[in-house]
Formats: sequence, C-alpha cells, structure tokens
Amino acid sequence: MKKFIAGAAFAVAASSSFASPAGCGLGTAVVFPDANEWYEHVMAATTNASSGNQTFGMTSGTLGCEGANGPLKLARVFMDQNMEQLAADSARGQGESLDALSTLIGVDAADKAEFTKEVQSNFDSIFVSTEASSEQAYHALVSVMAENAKLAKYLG
Amino acid sequence: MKILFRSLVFWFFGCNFVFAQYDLESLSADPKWRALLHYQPHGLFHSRYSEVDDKKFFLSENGKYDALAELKATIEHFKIDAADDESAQCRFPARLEWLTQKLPEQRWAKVNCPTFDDWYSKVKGTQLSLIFPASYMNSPSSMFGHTLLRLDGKQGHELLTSAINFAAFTDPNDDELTFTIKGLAGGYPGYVSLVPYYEKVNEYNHIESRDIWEYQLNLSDEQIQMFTRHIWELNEIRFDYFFLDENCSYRLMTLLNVINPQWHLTENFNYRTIPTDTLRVLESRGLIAEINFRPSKTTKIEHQRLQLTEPLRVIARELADDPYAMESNQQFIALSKLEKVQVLDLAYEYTRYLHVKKKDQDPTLLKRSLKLLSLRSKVDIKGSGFDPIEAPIVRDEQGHKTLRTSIGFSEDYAEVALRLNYHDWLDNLPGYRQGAQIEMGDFQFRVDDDHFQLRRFDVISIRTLVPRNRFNHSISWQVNAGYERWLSDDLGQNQVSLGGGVGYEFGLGVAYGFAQGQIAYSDRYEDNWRLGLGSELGYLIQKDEYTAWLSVEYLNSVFQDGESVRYGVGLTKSITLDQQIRFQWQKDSFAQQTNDLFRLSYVLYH
Repeated sequence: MKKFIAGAAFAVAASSSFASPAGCGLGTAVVFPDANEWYEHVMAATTNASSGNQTFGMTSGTLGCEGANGPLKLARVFMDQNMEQLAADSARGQGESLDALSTLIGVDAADKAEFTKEVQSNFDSIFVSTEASSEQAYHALVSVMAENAKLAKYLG
Repeated sequence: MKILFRSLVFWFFGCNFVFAQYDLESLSADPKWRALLHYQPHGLFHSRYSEVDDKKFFLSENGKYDALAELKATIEHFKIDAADDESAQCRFPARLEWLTQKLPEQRWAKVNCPTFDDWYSKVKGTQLSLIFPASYMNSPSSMFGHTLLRLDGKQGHELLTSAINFAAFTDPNDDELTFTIKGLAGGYPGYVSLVPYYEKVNEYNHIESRDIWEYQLNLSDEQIQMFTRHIWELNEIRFDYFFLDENCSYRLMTLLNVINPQWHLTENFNYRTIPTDTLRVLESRGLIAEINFRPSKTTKIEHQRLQLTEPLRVIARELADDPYAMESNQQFIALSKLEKVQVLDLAYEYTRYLHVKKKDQDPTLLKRSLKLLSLRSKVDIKGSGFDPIEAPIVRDEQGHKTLRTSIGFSEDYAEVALRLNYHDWLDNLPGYRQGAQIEMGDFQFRVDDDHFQLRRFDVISIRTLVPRNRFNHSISWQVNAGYERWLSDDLGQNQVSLGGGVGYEFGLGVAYGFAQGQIAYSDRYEDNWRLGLGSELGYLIQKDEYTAWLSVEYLNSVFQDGESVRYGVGLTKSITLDQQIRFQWQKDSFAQQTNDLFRLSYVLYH
C-alpha cells in the first residue's frame, strides 16, 4: 500500500507540468519492445489500465515532451515511441506511422513518395539491428535525407 | 414621506437582493451546473452529490454535496486577483465559460492563464470520436471492451491526435484477490488522461491485438470546445474506479453528458455499464456520424492466411522459421513479386505474434523478424499485397442485447431463466466473437405444480475456444463456478471447474479437447465433497443463423469412488437478432444416479 501511495505521489509530481516523463523518450527504444506478461493483459482488460508505465496528466501537441520543440525534435520523439510500426511501414514503403512521421518532419505532399521510397530502399542502414536504438535510427534517417536533393531541405 | 421613501428604497434593493439569491439557487440546480460538478443520483433515495472523489475539484468545503455552496464559492474565487495560472479561472475554464454566459453582469478579475491557453491552443479540435477497442482472441473478459475518446485538432495526422482516456491506476503488486476486491469496491483511483492517439493504437491494436472501432460523434464546434475546457478541469482529479458500474465507459458517458445534460446519457447505467450498451445509447440519441474500423494484428494474420493457397502458407511458415535459409531457397526466389510480398508479410506478422504472445522463447526470434522486414524492403512494391480488410458487417453493439430471459418446456415442468451478463456459445453469434463465452449471474428456475425452485445458478462461466493452425497456437480453456440441483435425487451441488486444451477446425465447426478438473460439494458424495479429474471433448458449430454444441465430460474421482459422465447437446436457431429457439439435452450420471433432462426454450435478449 505504501509503495502504491508513493508511486501515485510520484506520478502526480511528475505530471504536474501536464506532461508525462515517459513521453519524452530518451532515444533508447529498440525496434521490438518486450512483450507484456499475461496478467498485465488481464489487468488491462478489466481496468483499462495499461501495464507498467501508465501516464496520467494531459499532454498536448508536443507528444508529451515539453522539452521538444521544432519539427525534427518531434520526429525524434515519435520515432522513439513507434519504432516497430515505423520499421514495418518502412519495409513496405507505405503505412500510417510512416505517414505520421513525414507529417511531423514537414514533408510536402509532393515529396512524400520520394520520402517513402528512400526509406524503403535504405531500410538496412536505418534499422541496423534489433539492438540499435531509435537515436541511431534517427541519425541514419537524417543521413539518408541529407543525401537526397528533394529531401535535404527538410532538415533545416 | 422620508419613511415611505426609505422603505421604498429598502424594498427595492431588498427585492433585488432576494432576487439575486433566488437566481443563484435556481442556477445551482441547473442541470448544466450539476453536470459540470458530476452530480449523479445515488442510492435508494436518489440523493444527488458529486462522483468526484477529490477535494481539489471543489472550491467550497462542502462542494461535493452542496451545489449552491460550490456555485457561490466559484463566483467569489473568479473575482479574486491572482498571479498567472493561479486563479480559479485557470483551473475551471468550462465553469468560467458557462457562468459568463449565465451571469453577464458579473465582473471577473482580469487574470492570465498562459499554461491553459498554451495547452488549449495545441489540443483544441473540430472532431470528437468515441473509440472502442473490441474483444480479442482468448480473452473473453475483453468482450466487455473499453471505450475512450479521441479529439482531432490540427496535428495533421490521425495518429498524432489526442486520446482522452479514463482508467484505473492499479498497484502492480496487488494479488488477484486484492485486485478483484479493490476493483469491485472502488479501491483504485481513476483519472482522466490525454495522450497521443498512437499510444493507444500501439497498445490495443498491436500489443493486445484488438480490433478498434472509431465512431465519429455528431457535435458542433462549440460543443467540442466546451467539452475540451471541461477535460482540463479534470486534470489529475480522482474518481474512485468501480469495475462494474463506474468504469471507463460510464465515466465517458458522464463526460459527454456535460455537453448536454438533456441527453440523459447515464440514466440506464445504475448497476452495470457495459461498453456496447453505451454505444447503443449514443446511437439512439443520434450522436453517431461515421464509423471506421482498424483490424488488429491477429485479425490481419487470419485474413492473410485465408487469402493464400496452401503451398504459399507453407512457404510463409518456413520463412518465419528460418528466413536466412529461405532467402536462397529456389521456391521462394521463383515466386512473383506480389507473392513474395504476401508471404514475407504474413511471415513477419506471425513472428511478431509469437513474440508478443510469448509463444516462442527462441533468442533468434527478433532477429528473424528484422530479417523478414529487410527482405521485404528489397521488393519494390508498396503496401501489403493483400486485399484490404473489410469491417465486420455486424458491429459489436449491433449484436443481441445483454440481458437474457428464457422460458422453456420439458416433459413435465417449465423452466424460467434470467441471465445478467453477457453471451454464451449457443447465443446468437452476430456481433460477438466466435468461441468466446462469458456469463455472470445465470439463474434457472424449475416450475411445476409442486415446485418453484432454483435448478441452476452460474456465478461465472467463461469459455474460450480458438482453433489452432499453422499461424495460431492458442490454448483454449474454460472456468465455471456455480450451483446445480439434480432433479433425479433432488440434491444440490456447488462446484468449481477448470479445464484447458486445444481445438482444431473440423468440418463446419471446431472440435476440442480439454483436460478438466472439478471440485464439488454435495450430499450426493461420500464425505460431501469430491475432486474429479478427467476430460471434456466437444464439437461446436457457430453460424450466424444457428449454433450446435455436442459435448461429453468424463471425471474420475480422486479421493472417493465413482466416475461421473455428462453428455450435452445444444441446438439453436435464431428468429431475430434478439430472439432464438433453443433445444438443450443433458444427461449426468454418477454411481447409480442418472439425471436426464431436456427442454425447448424461447430466448429473448433485452
């Protein structure tokens, strides 16, 4: 009980700035996160509480990371939280998460096809290994964009 | 004259003073004010007080019970000067908006609310949707689903919009019993939170593999803005969370009700709130516009599996097992680009399923997943290579209603039955998940000239049957607890049973086998109790128009003498979505006793 109260107090303190610390992302996420235990599923089903790192508080347009500003910083946060979806979309050269990423970077509608093509053909250099962090993936993506005439301008 | 004048003045101002007081009182009784404070009727006498369990939400000491006191305190606080972000005006922008309209002559203090303004400018939107992550395989309790809201603003992409979620914050260290008791009794706090929608899609769609339905709500811009301001008021405000009645779906109804209390969205949800019932209410108020469907990972796998021929399925499976070897395999290389894309996609999804469901502890599993993606990236086709998945024709809330009454006839007695929740293997299927059963509170009474007695009472009965195949390795299981009286010896029995095993598609349905155990208490047994171990075998066909279920259970007593066998046959034909005819036959035998009963019933869902 004490642990829980302490935990709740921490959660309140942490989100008093109306942002969730888990949202900021340290750039360490790997492409395939750990699976949940079965009882976490049961809990989730009955209480609708998500397992482990539940956040409460109200994030806003900064994806829950107050420190993030500017388009590429938001892209970094998004990559950190959506590594698996981005990898799958990148391999297919199409997908919702990839689309959201290009929106965050600010890619114009006219250049989106170029963006997804580059990401798909450079898959191996962006998603290097199962241990590689989102930070590495992000830097690799930036390099790929830098070498493309149409995409380099979005790097600012 | 002076006296007359003075008394006129006094009367004039006195009247105004009385009039203003009266105004506040009737204002505090306004349904809108009550809705903003989350006042609901409680208990037998329907006394009204706030469901908020947090002092921070009230500006007056007794705000939880006294709406007038809270109104007065709010008005007073709005008139006080304060530093940036500190004013009550910043904490309660919805109250501010409404009171400004209702009391136009009032002068509020001039304050700044930079934090709120910043948040509001980023979050405000023009579309509000109700999101319903539906049930998923092998978790019958998830048939109850979950509901949350989504607010779409200028984020530029659906995944980046705001998800508004009400959830319980549980202690991961609590054991099952504590968890159940606390959950039922309001021992966990519930909070409203706002996170990017992709967090919820990732959690429900990908990790938990639940289909997601998105219902766009029919609301005006002003209504949505008012709602958004109220959400801010609930930041870090605690509600006690009760699994059965004040759960997430109920809470969302109270939140939406703030927009327009005349909708009476919560009036039917006094004892139990089931998510699909809340969807029905919204539909009946004309609040649902468009509906979208997001299939889950397991839905995708099944859809893809069915689109491939057997040889391609074999290749897909071999790719998943060893992509490095298959890379140079002739059969794979010879495939067309489209076929390559298809088998790689299915293989990849299958490996992710294995990892998330912990079906495979092989350390190379993740590397294989990545390798499959890498191989996929080398085929220059965009997209999934499969036909798009169509939404189910019958949505969850279009299925049969959740309360069930039936009247049945046997040879020499009638049976009347009532079930509180929710759906069994023989109920009309549309809108419900195949192989899933969850029942709570099923009462069956026998009625004849001499008797009106309880024949059977199931406290809980959960069954899940998921057929295994090349891409699905589910374990099927069942749990049941209840009371049953045998008509042959008029003895009652309390029992708990648990079974687990496998099922496979066969013919029109699924054949299954469970290892089964049961503990039973009854005068029928030596020492009044019995532990039986054995198995259950069965065959289940579930179609939209009819269902059929055959089963036999055999249990051998562990500590006592005697074996028991139970045969069961159930057949149903649906009349309409909410009605069916059901035939059931059951024969139990233990030692010398046999209990043989059948009945033909009319079943009504309401």
